[in-house]
Amino acid sequence: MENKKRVLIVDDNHFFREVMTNEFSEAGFDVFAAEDGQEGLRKFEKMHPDVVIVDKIMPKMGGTRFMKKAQELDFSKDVLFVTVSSMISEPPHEHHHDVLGSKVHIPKTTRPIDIVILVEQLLSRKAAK
Amino acid sequence: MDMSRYKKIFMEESREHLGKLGSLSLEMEKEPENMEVINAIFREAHSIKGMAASMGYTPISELTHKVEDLMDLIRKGEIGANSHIVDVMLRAIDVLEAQLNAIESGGDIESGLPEVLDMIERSQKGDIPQNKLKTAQKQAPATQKEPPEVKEEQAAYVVTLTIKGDEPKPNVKGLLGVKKLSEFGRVVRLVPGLEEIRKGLKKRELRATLVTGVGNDDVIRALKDLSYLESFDVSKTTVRSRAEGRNDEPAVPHDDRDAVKVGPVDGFIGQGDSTPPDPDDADTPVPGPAVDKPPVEWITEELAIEQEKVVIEPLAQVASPGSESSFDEGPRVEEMLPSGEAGAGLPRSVRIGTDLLESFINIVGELLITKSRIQQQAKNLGITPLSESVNRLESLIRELHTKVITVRMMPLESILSRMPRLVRDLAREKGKEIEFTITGGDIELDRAILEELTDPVVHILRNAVDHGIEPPNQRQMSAKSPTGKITLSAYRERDLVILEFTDDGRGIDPEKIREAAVSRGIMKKQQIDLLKDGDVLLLAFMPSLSTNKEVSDISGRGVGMDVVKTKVESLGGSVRLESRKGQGTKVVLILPLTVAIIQALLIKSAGETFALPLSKTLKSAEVAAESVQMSQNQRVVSIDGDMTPLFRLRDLIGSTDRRIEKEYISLVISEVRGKHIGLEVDEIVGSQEIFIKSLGYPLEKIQGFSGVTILGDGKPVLIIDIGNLF
Repeated sequence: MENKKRVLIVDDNHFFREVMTNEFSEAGFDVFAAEDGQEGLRKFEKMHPDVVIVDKIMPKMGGTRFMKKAQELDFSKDVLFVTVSSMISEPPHEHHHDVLGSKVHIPKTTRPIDIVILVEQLLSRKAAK
Repeated sequence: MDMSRYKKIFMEESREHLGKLGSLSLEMEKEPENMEVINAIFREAHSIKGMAASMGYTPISELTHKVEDLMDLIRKGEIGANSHIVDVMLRAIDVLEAQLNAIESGGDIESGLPEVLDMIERSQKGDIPQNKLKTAQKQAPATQKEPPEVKEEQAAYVVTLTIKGDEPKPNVKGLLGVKKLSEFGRVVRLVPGLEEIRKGLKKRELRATLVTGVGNDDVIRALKDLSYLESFDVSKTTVRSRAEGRNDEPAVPHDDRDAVKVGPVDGFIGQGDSTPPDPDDADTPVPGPAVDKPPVEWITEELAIEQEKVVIEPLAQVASPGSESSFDEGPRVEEMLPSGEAGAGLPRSVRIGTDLLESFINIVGELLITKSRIQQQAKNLGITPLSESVNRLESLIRELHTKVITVRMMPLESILSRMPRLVRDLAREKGKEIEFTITGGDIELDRAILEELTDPVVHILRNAVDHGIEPPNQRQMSAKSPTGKITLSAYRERDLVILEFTDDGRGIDPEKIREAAVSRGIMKKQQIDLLKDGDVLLLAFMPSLSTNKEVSDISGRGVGMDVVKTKVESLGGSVRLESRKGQGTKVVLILPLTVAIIQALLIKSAGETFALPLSKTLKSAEVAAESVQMSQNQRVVSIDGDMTPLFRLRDLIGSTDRRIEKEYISLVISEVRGKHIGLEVDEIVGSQEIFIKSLGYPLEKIQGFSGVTILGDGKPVLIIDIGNLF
């Protein structure tokens, strides 16, 4: 069996962390969660996740700054960054280049299970390349 | 996959954020310049918005989004955080709370939403409204273009429901009616549409087309049972019949709202998707300035509650051929209606009804009584091993009792958290400035008591705001700070909880009470002049005595304190009132921690056994008969240097039993309306845990007894309500 994929969830909202942790764990991911960008950065460095799900607005360090800092780290080029925020009002979409830290943008209105599915598909697309 | 398993945590978290939002809004009023507060409000609203969005509660995320916008404008300095904004905020919080409650109970989640959105919008423009709330209602025609299919053996009926004119929320009632109909078959059409009904039912009438296999008399019978219907009409209609297969076009075309489009990411394509993706772009979803227009829609799902069921199922199902068919009818009405949770995952905690909780305590009580009986019988029969087992049983029952009580305990906070808001609103309405503080909100009480406590607390606070605290100018004239103070402090004392309400207002004028009592014929002038000021205050608890000359619409008509007293006493508590003219009033509620099972002192008088709640007794004593003295026709005895009046229980309960003169008199010292009294009894048997049962009608009418309990020997024993014996 393949190694479990690791996902880091960075969100200050307890509800959202809980829900996403649940959904990703059930989908077979190893899940780590952080309450803000600072904690997120520490965990990012330590855990080397494959995917990072980031909220935009957080205390201490917001999502954009977190991703900027995280992307300074070497291994980050292989990491899939996903912004999940209620500030995004469009359906899930992907940009050609990083916009405010990531290419993939998903609104919080998306059902958590769909976020998991999207992440899985993006990961398998990446693996196929 | 179902979001309902997250409902509980959503509710908890949202309520917590909402609570913070409430206190922050009041803080904003105190410190309108403090941007920290504005930012904090923004964050709280944002948190709720995010959660509601992922749960699919669009009306909530919509409203919180507006609140964010409003805070943003304040942050930018475009509008000021004035008290009108605070009003708007509080209104928004009310609506949010109602929305949360609606989610919990399956009510109308959009109730009050258009109004408050309108309010916010006006505030954003700096427009302070003159109470004209326009409800933006889009009257959209029903969306069905084509009649739905009907199977051969089914009939279709057009059912017109008219909701009674005096029913509140006719739209909710209408939906309930539709829900009822859906029990018989499929409701394929609604006029007006579901969204419109949600927003409100203008004509109190709605039409539903029901496709069903049952006859119309069954439907009629069911509708007759719905008390909220003024009238209804069921008439058969013809609907084009179609073959079983649903391979051609959708029977009920779904509008965009219901559309669930699955777009291209590899292997994530629903066959027969109406907008097939460009294969070239399958890998990287389409270029484009993505901010305002997303390149490719992966999932378009405008959230509405009803969509809970029309979801993207896990991959396999979505991608399987013919999956389209699961959407082709559009959501069924019965699924769209708020029907509570569709239980998928089992929640980690369960909610149970208060009546079930109530039955637990009753059963524990019965256990306790049965145990006492076994104990008694074991003793009578002299079986020692049995007694030992019973002792073990007793400790188990006690443990069970403690656990049941713990489940029933809730912090006072749960009812007090609304009070700052209440005080604030009342104060504003009355043009008063009031600082309100609460301490001891974490003290826990039996929920049965808490539930009954809201009314008395509201009454007392209203009284304090309305009659207690003076208007600012009047306060300044009496050299007081223009801002009045009301404090509510709660603390525990043994197994009692004390609630003290203090205000620094004008106090109660004993002269006014005297006047009122005389003018209302409660007492004669000569009688009342004999009463001390402190005693006169007790009259405030009399029904229909208001000292305020102008009846206020807030505190009612002098029934307030009477209600408070009755309620608190029915809970086994008592009320004290202290007041100094010009300096303020203090109302003290003394409450038992829990109902139903209490420690009581068993006493004998006139050949009968009675129980006296231990919480009402101060001590017991034995005094020599000769130490009793007479003072103004009253027998008194010195207890710890206090001259305490003595009353014979046998006299108080009207026993005609001949009394036996004894050398020593057994006394129970108790407090009645702030005064110590000695209750003379024949014998003090001892203390025991008793389970209170209500006397029931008509026995409950007897003054002086609060209930009954059953002793181990099976004998019923009356529980004395000492405050009402006099």
